[in-house]
Amino acid sequence: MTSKISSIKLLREAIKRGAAFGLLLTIGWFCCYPILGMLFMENSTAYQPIDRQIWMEMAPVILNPFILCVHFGTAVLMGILQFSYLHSREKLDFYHSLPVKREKLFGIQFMAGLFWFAVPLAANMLLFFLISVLNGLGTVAGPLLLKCFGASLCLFLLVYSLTVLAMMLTGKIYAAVCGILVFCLYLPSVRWLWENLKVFFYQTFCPPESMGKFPAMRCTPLALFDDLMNEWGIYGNLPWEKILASILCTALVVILCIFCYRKRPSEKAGVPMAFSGIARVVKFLLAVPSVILIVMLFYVSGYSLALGIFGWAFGLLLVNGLIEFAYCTDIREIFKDRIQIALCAVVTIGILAVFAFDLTGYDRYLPEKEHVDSVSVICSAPMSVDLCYEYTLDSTGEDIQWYQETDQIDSAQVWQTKDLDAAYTLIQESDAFQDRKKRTEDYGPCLVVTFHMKDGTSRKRQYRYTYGASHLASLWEQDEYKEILYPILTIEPENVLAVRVSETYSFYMYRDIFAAPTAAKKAPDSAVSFTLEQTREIFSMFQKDLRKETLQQAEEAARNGALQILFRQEQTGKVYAVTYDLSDDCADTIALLEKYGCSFESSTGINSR
Amino acid sequence: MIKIENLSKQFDKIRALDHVTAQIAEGSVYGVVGTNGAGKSTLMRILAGVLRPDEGSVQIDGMEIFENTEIKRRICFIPDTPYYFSNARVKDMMGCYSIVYPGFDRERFTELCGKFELDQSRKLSTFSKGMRRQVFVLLGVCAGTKYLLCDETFDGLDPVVRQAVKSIFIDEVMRRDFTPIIASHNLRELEDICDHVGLLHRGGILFSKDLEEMKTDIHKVQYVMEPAAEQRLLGELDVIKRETRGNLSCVTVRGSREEILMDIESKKPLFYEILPLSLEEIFISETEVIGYDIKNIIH
Repeated sequence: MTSKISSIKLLREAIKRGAAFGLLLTIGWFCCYPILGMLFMENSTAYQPIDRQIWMEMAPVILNPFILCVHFGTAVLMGILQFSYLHSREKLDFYHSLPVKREKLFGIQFMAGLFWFAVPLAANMLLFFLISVLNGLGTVAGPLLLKCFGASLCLFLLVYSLTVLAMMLTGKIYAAVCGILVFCLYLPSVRWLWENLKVFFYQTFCPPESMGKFPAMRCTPLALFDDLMNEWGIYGNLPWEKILASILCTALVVILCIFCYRKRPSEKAGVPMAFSGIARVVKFLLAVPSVILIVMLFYVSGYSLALGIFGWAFGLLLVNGLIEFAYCTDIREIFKDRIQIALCAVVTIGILAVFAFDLTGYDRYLPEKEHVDSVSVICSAPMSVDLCYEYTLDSTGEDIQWYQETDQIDSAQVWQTKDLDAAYTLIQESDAFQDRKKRTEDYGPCLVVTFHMKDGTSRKRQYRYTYGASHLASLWEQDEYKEILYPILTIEPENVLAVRVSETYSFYMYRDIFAAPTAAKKAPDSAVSFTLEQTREIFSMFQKDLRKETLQQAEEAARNGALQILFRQEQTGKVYAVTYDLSDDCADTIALLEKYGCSFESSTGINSR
Repeated sequence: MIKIENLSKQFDKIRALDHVTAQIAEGSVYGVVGTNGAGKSTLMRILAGVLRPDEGSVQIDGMEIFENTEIKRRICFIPDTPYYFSNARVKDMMGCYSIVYPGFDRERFTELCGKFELDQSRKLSTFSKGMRRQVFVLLGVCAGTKYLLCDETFDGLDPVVRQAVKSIFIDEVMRRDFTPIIASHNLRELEDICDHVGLLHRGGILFSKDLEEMKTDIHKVQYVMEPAAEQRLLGELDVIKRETRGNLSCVTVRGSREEILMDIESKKPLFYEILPLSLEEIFISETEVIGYDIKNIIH
């Protein structure tokens, strides 16, 4: 019982000591919530929007990037303030000589920091809620504020506990700040560097569409920060699963903090790294990626091996020197750890060699056929169109409005085959399987191949082919593949609403596409208009031309203009527009267009070659 | 009872304490003396449970001190630079100490602050260094702990205050179970406070003795006598040190006062007297016997 009372009293004392910072925070939160809230209320109540709109508009007010940055900064500052005694011998002599166990001391300091974040925030949010109630928005603001409080608390706790861990592992404030940066940025940076090394050195590496989903990219409090900003601040969806994950991470970090505190030698106050054993590991882990990055920057600046070697030597000395200077703050000792420099040199050379000489055989990798279920192929070139635009028709059906951009080719539209022999033959003819010395940079078509393994996993590679290569011809001539490449081939002529010959390749569909000769509206420019029958005939002819088109024609044909096609998708009823090149290989279509009044020299101003 | 056995502590490549063994009896005022870097502060920080020893053990009342709150409740540590919270007043620190040390005597602290003319409402940052030390000594005394560890706390205190603190210590020792342990590099400053002293040098304790015991065993005599008689006298006495100025000789000798006086009187000196020995002189004599050139060790 005595011990419990003592804990509460100690906590009260610790809270009293943080009062100045707490007061500052209270003023800050007051400006962020009640004041901003009042400004918002004035605007929103003026036009009485529906609840959902209020919700959507209120969310960014409550949790916007600025406020999240304040939460983030507060957590870092609070962590440093509450545990700064670990970095001062005088303070440590006082705290550690007290008849209080380290775990208890940790708990008291941690809770005092949490108190000064949570209590002023809760008080100001309550004030904001009362203002909302007075403005008749209480039912909307209440749950929103509650969620916001929870989310803010989670972000704070995660960053706060990581800051405390950084304080535990270090003995100087600047080292702790570096530690926080490492916690926030190290894994994403290393992952980014790793991906870029693969992009740079591996020909068959297929860069991911987004690196944000990699676990390494999520191993940072910035990921939660990003989720809260995007999912909550913009779309109004609180990322519950991520918040729960952050709570779990916080718990683990706190346990780690307590473990470190138990082991932490008191004499390490004033020393950059509190645990000598991990100092070299940390220095090494920081030095290696930094040196590799410098090598790459030098190499890329002139694509010269000499520059790369110079960059390596320079980076090695610079990075190790800087790290050592940060560690011992003595310019005379920046190169004293020769073992570290040598180790770093060997490892960086090793990593660069693995990539530069493809020692792992990444580019020549082909999974065993018996492990592969099927192969998906996307051919990136020659592509005449890769985007499709969705439009909406007005009530008369004679006018259109741009609606949104949409991907024409998505994962469902790739050519998937179980004919592994054909796919493998195609892959083995790619440049990656040729002699590295004979490779040329004059690349043409590129295949993106996904191997769907029998165990449910998939591996993605891209294969380049030199221009004029005939290997893709067999793939190109398959109707199935062509329909995937040109989705317009699957559209029935009855669903085509209009076509228009355009001088330039334009994604934007002008409204004059409906300006048929019989329509009241006339085309505003010199474009020729077609009747519906003519439109469908032109479209059918264009489909035939596309089906006949060979790979060689597709690669070499000259452009004569562009054909814009507006069609309705049968399944969804949505209206889309696409633009295709009108090249020499579409001779029949061009002839038909000329028959209906299009003069390519005169109307498009483009001479066919 | 504090029992230090084979205690070692190393900071990176520097060995601060090297197999120190000592015992500090209860109810004495124990002084730990040594040069800068001798390991006094390290020893005090280990005794306070701040540092964990690399080797050996520190047992206070039969229990290890490190992370032992039960034993730490019996110890109050005043480091060389005592820490106080920013903007803290004397009464704030009293509040903090009274929470941490359940036996803290607020009334006595208020009474002592009055005696030392320390304003409790004044911010500690506005006090002089010496006054701050006084505050912390009083906080330590009033904490009600059995052991009070003072690291260089008395360095810089004026003689009047030192005497006042000495009398408080004596009073506390008489009143309750109290053992102050004072570390200092200055022998002269400990002389009038301690009754037991240990000399720490290069990480090890050279010796640890009762001050009174040392004073009764070593004496300084100055005399004038015939050269032949003096030669006989020097042969009979256990002389540690001898100095002569003309006919006047001054010797530091080991032995009981009575025996030494008897030997001198038997040689019919023209003049003789027993001089008081300072702690420094005793140390010089004792350590020279062990083989150390103490002049290079102490100030």
